[in-house]
Amino acid sequence: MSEDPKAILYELESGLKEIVSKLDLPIETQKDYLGLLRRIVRAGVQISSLEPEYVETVVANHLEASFNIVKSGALRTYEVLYVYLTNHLLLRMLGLVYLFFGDWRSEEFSELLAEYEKLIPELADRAEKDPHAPLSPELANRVHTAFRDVLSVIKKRVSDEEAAEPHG
Amino acid sequence: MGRYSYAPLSEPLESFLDEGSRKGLMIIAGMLGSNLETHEEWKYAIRKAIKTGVNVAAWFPDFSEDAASIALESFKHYVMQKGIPADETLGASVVVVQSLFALYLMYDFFEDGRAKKIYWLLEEFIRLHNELVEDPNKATNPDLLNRASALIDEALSVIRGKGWEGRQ
Repeated sequence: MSEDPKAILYELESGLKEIVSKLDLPIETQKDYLGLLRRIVRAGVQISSLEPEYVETVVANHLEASFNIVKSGALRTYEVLYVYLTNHLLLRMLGLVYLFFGDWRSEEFSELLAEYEKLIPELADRAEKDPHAPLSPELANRVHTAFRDVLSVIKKRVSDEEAAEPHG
Repeated sequence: MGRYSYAPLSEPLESFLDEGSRKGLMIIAGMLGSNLETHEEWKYAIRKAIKTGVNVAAWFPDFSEDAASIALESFKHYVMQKGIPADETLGASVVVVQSLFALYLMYDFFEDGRAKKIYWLLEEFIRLHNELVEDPNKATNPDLLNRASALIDEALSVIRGKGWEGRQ
């Protein structure tokens, strides 16, 4: 391993600390640690059971379909919110897969996902105020951009692989 | 976060692991191309798992439940009530599978008693999805749609039937 073991140990502790604070549980004894590590490992095992390229394809297809239907203007504001939230769940799954398998796009994807999430409160607010109205052109444009940005990262693998294939 | 408490690690991490967690880490390590022969390899596998765990812990349960519910409701609305082309039904069923998986992952991590039931529903829906893959014409088959509807209703009732307070 080329990484500094001390850095890894620090990261382990930081990670555990972050989980402990999020779960709001006292982790003080060896038994507490064991319980927490068991949960963590189980989550890791489940993610490792996923096929990265399959998940990626599923998410990309759904994003593209969403992009097209939102662009068509056929959806009302609450329907756009629903599509946006469903995609968010799928994107978070893909983010976990990228993270777990150490995909080179993981960091860039996380940043774009954070940008994607910023639009949720505003969409939810509009959907609550006027659910059946069509989405405003300005907001629709931002939704398109959010979809397009994450799609561009997901699709990088396909274009990179094609470029690497021998031709002729 | 009033009960936050964290004691720094003073012993090797693997000393906290029970047999189940060790087996889980072996699976993860296998995916990462390691045999867990050295202390460093153990730390690397645990670090991978912890990174995943941190991200799952960040999935606030109510939000993930909302997003999964929307995905399930959308399937019923667009596939079963409005009717969409067969290939889109296949795509929509994949989204349901992914949403149920995400929900299971989150419930399991937080040791919510509903994880087992959602896992069963996930397996049943995967069977149904595979039928669609083998024969896309089944997208309009009333028997298949009724089974899908029953599974989705059951999943929705599991999500809504027991609040976050009821976790085990």
